[in-house]
Amino acid sequence: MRFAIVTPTALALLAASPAAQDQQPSQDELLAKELAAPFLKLAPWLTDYDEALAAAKAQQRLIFAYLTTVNH
Amino acid sequence: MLFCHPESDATAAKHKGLGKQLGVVGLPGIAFLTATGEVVVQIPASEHSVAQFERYAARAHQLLAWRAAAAGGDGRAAAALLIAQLEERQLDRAAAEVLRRALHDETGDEKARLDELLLDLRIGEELRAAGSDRAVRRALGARYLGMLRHGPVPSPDVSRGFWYVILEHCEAAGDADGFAAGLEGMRVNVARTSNGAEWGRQLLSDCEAKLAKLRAPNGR
Repeated sequence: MRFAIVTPTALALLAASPAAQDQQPSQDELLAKELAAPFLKLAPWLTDYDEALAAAKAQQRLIFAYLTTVNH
Repeated sequence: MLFCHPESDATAAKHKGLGKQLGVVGLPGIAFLTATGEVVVQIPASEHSVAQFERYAARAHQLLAWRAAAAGGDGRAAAALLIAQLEERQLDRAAAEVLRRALHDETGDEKARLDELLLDLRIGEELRAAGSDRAVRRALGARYLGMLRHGPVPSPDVSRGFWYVILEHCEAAGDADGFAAGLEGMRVNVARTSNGAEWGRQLLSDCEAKLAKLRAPNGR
């Protein structure tokens, strides 16, 4: 699960993420792929929801939430 | 499925069920949230692009601006906010009707838009209540076909089920003209929702085959 305070840069970086795939790889493969994605290294992602809420409140910004399958 | 969860088990456990709790749907679920965790706008999974994210970001800011203006007594902002919340599927019909009654006036355009969006919600409720009951679905289809012909007409974003039940009714009744009318609506729906996917092409192809059969002499 990823959280970001909304900025144009964050949007652009997220949009550079890989396209959807037809096959469903294993969780380990997905994890490796996600950790290798450029946007994860460059975007100011927060992975703690409470931290994202606090930062959004302090900075008076919206949160761009990217909720992955594990948490649904 | 684009991504898995990269966090530790402990962190994953902390966030377990968060998507459901927020009401965010889709895999992955993408949404703009306020600092209190309220979902302002969800982004559908059909398309992910910079242009799309920026469009939804602007939409989220617009909703919040309308909300602030509505709280200050701006009737136009209140109407715009209600329309936007309905478009974002953030309200059930009962809640929306309460909010609508609180509007002191509506312009012609606002009234028309609110009417069709509330009709969409009512149709959704009726379709859910009908479930897979064939007789109830066909009865709904007959009524919805009448709505197509005489009004009121739902919005272009009405549930695909609206078109399904019209087609089911017309196929059972041997009504080729009605089926063709339903198929036109289904075409619009598929164009708006399938993003060119194979299921959409297959669905329309199946419907066209049924229409040809209905129009053939003796239905063959």
